[in-house]
This record gives sequence, structure tokens and C-alpha cells, in this order.
Amino acid sequence: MDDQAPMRGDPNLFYGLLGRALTEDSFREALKGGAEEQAAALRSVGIEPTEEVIKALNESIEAIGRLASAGAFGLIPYVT
Amino acid sequence: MQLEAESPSSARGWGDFDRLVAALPPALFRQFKLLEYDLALRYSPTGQFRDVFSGPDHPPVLSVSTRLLSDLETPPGASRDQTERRLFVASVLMAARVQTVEGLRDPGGFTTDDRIALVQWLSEQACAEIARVVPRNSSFWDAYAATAGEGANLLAARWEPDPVNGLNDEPEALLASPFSAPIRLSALAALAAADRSEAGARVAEMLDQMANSYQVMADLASMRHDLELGRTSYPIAFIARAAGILLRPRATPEVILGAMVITGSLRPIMEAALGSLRSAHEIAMDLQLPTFAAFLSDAEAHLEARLASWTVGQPREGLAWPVPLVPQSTPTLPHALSMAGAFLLADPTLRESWETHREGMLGRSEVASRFPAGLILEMLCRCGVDVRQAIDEFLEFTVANGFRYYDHPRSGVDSDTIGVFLRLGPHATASRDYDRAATAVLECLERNVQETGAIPVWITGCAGAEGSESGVIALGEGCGTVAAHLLLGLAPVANEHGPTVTIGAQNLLDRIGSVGLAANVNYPPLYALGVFFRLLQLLDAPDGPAATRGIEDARRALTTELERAVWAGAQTAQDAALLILACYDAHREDLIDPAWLVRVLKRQRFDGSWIGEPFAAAPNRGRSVSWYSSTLLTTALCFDALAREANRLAAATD
Repeated sequence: MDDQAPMRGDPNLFYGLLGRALTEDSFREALKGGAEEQAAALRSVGIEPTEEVIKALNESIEAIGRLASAGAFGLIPYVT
Repeated sequence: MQLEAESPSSARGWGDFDRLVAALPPALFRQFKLLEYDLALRYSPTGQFRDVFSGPDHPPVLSVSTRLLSDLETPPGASRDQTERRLFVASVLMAARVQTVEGLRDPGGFTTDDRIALVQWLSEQACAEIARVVPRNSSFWDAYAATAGEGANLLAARWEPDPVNGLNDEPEALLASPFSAPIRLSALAALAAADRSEAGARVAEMLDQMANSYQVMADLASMRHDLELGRTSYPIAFIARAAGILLRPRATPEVILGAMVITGSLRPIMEAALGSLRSAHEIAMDLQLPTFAAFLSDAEAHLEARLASWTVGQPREGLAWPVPLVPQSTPTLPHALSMAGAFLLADPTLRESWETHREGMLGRSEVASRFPAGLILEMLCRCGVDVRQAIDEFLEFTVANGFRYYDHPRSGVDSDTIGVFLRLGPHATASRDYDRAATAVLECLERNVQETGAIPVWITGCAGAEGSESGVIALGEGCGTVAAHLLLGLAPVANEHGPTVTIGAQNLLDRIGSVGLAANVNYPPLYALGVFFRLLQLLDAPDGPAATRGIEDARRALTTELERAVWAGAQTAQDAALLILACYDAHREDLIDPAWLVRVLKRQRFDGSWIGEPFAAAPNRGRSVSWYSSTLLTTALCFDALAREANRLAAATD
């Protein structure tokens, strides 16, 4: 994976998008949907859905899906 | 070479510890009992307190001295047994102190300020246990002073980071385990007791590396929670550095989590933890400490297996690790609100809040006023909760009861009941028409106001309520908050009752301008402040009722009172909630102290409620008066305060 967000402008927008996908099942599902759903989700957070962005999103969303399905973000009590 | 999970000396140590706890005075014992469960939930693989800090997932906080004495081949005997037992107890006490302090630092948790008593006891008792086995002239005590000072300084820095000098956001600068100091003290004490202090520096280095490794994993586990609290930890700073994100101003939790995925930071963070463990292991080997080396080897293998199950920030196919690395953390404020809302809606009649008398009031074995339920419904409406059906039932009962305060024919008709009836009216089911139901009683009120020049608490001379005025003593007359309650309901519908509003409002404004908050008689002063500020806003509105004088004088007087209350702060959850509400009603959100929200959150019970706190005086047996309190009413006040804070915080992050 790249070291930085694949977009000009504020990279935090893309990071924030992925972070939200990691914590919100419904948002993650929307990002995994068709091209139109993806574009709408990106635009909803102020990101222009360029080819480069879509490619990076698809690569990342797969990793996020694995993280989430492995229970890394499950509701198991944690140690502090 | 492994140490048994519970060696004979640690079994005896637990016995010593149990006896120590059993002798605690009741208040401290209760505090310790909760702490015991907190420790077990976080650090015991079985959930049993006696298993805390056992196994490779947790640092061996309690067995450091036993391991050292064993590894150094200290001769067995009464002296070693005594040293092991005393230092074991000291280790439990110091670990318990760490957990208590961590709990105090967590604004969303339940460790309240009064646990400072437990911190004091744990500290003094731990020191006493160590002093029983380390000679008074040992150089250990210099190391003790230095380590204790370092630990306290670290705690102070973590509690309130220095905005000027504490800006080092390099991950390594943030890596500090709260267990470092206790582990080190326990080890140095064991070395001193065994007359082997020369190994202290290297042993301390080994233990620091080990503690750092566990801290990295603990920081990963609490990362979501830390992000929500705006705290910075090793993994957060690591991810931020990898992604080129500035930590000031604070990035949102989602940004850091997204950056964690993009940069694949999970793996190098875990590798850092593994590196520390390996360093500790090497030192243990160098020092020929076989039980430590065995433990660290086991912990290393454990972490390696965990790391092997992950590639770049994701689990490798077929090797999913059952324990989450970065678990979900439910945000505290919405969670607390949801619990409180569920509690408030569990009984639509809000029966527990009724002011129910069983001392024989009015010659009956039971008499009740449903008025507090009206206040609760009003707060729920303000928070956007749909309680129309409950309001319909409340209003129907109020009409059927002739606007009396109590459900007894000899009970007086009162302004509070009329006020809440009028305020709830607009929130009732649309098809219902309650306006006409109050016509007669409002005409009666108008006569009272014309006669006295003020809004009374108890309304006299109303048709159908004549029997209420003989043979009873009506308490609480002259309360400005009751008058304000009525005006808040009447002013918006004052077409036919303009003179009542004008006369009543002017009288109240004059009183507030003259005596300030002393115009309140029956309610908690902080509650009255909020009600008065709401009334001022209504009277001052462009489409408000007929012009009244003295609004600014009253506002000035109340603002002085509010500032005084803010300075005094809040001791209880209800007081904290009332202060928050008063600040909102005064449009002085700038005065809100974040500590009040913490105070409210820490006092919430597991069923979503807050224990009822005194709210108003109520007659009791023996012609006496005692406090009315209600868990539902206190919970509604806390709910209202939390809801407003949640809205404000949400707006601030939009």
C-alpha cells in the first residue's frame, strides 16, 4: 500500500473515509457497492472520485474488510 | 524453567493480602471490591482476581520479586519466605494503585474522585510492606525515592500534558508504562533484601523493556478509546508520523484509523513491541535469570505468533487471531445517553417520580402528586423524545384531578400544576384540545393575581376546590420558581390572560432584581437559575408578552449568581447536570466546565439511571419535612444535560 493518500488536497479526507469504513458497517458496504455508490460516498465527504482514488479505495477497502471480519474491531473487552 | 502460576509463597501472599483487605474499614472495602473486579476484567485470563497478571498476555507484575529471588538462588528459609510474601503483597497494592489512577483519568469510566482515599491507603500500605523486608539503611531507599518521583512525574505529565514543554509527539517519547515504576520498585526491593543491589541497573533495564512491550500492545488495545478522548499514545503518534499527519490540531479518530490502514502501521508497531521483548530477553539471558528468560521467551513466541497472523495491517488468510488488536470502543456520551433514555422510557407512567405520601397526608394512607412526572416529560420533549402518549395521559389526569397538586379532593390547586399543564399542551397529540379545560382555573388564577399583585403558589377561591382551604397548612408559598414555571406556560398563550402575565412577570422581575436567586423558595437554586433564565429569554423576545421593566436588572443579578455557582462547582451528578443546564439556559456555554460532564458520566448506574438526589422539601410523618428525591427525576436532569452537551460537541466537530 502507498505511504500516502492518493489524492491532491487534504489527505485527511481520504484517511477519514477509510477510518469511517472501518468502524461503520453500513458505510463500508456502501463503499464496496457499485461505481455509482462509491462515487456518491466519496463525494459525500468531499473527495472527487478520480480513477486513482477509486483504485486506492478498492485496495484499502479489501484490507478494511479483512480487519473488520477478523474481529479486530469487535466488541471484545480490551486490556488497558 | 517456569515459575508455577501460584507458587506456595504467592499462595501465602494472597492469604496475607486477603487478611489486609478484610481489615479495611467499610468505605475503603467497598472501593477495593470494585477495584478487584476492574483488575480481574482487564488483567486476568480467567476473570478471577487471583489470576491477575498471569500468562503471557500480561506483564508479570506480581511475580517479579519471586522470580528474582528464585533466579538469584536466594537460600530458602523463613527470611526468603517473608521477603517473597511481603513483596508480593506490595506488588498487588502497587498494581491496584495503577489501576485506580488509570480509572480516575478515564472521564467515561466509573472511578470517582473519592477513590483518592484508596490511592492513599494503597501507597502507604505498599511502602510499609517493603519497609518490613528492606533494611532502613539500604541504598534501595534512595532508588525508591528516585523511582517514586519519576513515576509521579510521569503520571502528572500524562494527566495534564504541559502545553508549552510537553509537545514532543515522537512515538518513543510517549512510550511509558504505568507499571514500570511498581515493577522496578518490587525488583529493587528484592535485590536489596537479597543483598544483590549491584544488579539493579541491568534488571531495571530489562524490566523497562518488558513493560514497554506490553504497553505498546495495551496502547493498541485502547487506541480507539484514546482517540475519542483526544489522547496521544505510542501507536497514534507512530501512525501520525508514518502518514505525515499533524497531531495538533487533533486529527479525528477516523483519520488516524484510516491512516493506520493506508500506511500498514499495525505490523511495525507490533514489531516494536516484539523488539522490546527481545531486548528484555537478551538481558535476562546475560544476567542468567532463568525464570525471567523462560517467561520472556514464552511471551516472545506468543507475540510472534500474533504478528505472524498479520501482514500489512491485515490478518493473513487462515491465521486470524482470536483477540482483536485494535478493538472497537463505544463512544461514552452517546452510550450513556442511550442507557439513560431507555431507563426513562421503561415505565411510561414514570410512577417512581410521583411525590407519593404514605405518612397519612390528608387522612389517607396514600396520596400522590404526579407533578414531577410532568417536569420529566417536559425535559424529554426538549431532547426530542416522542412522549406524546404519556403527555396525553398526564394532561387527562390533571384535568380530571381539577388541577390539584395531590390526587385528593382537599388538595389545593396550584400554579406549578397549571404551568406544567400549559407547557406540555403543545406537545400533546395534535387532535386533542386541552385549552378549554384550563379556562376556569385560569380565570380563578387571574382573580388571585389581580388581588395580590403576584402569582401565588396556591390558588384560592376556585369553583370546586373550596374544601381545600380548610384544615390544611399549604407550604412553599411565595416561590418565584413556581411563578416562573407558570409564566413559561402562560406567556405563549397569553391572549386572554395578558394582565395576569404582565402583573405576575413584573412582580417576579422586581423580586429577582432585588433579591436575586433568593426569589426561589422551593427548588434547588441551580434548577431555579435555569428556569429564571428561560423566563427572561421568553419575556425579552420580540414577540414576547407585554413590555415589562427590569429584565436587564434581573439578568445581571442572575448572571452574578450563575458565575458564583460556576466558581463553587458541583459535587454531585445532579448538581453538575443543573449547572450545565443553567449555563445553557443563560446562553453562557462558555462557563461550562468539562469536569461537570465527567462528574455526571461517572455516577451513572448500570441500568442507565442516576440515584435520586434531594430536589424539594416534602411533608413527612410527625409534622416534619424531609427531602423529596426521585431516581427518574435526577436521571432526566442528567439526560437533559448530556443531550445538550452531545449536541454542542457534535456541532463543534461538524
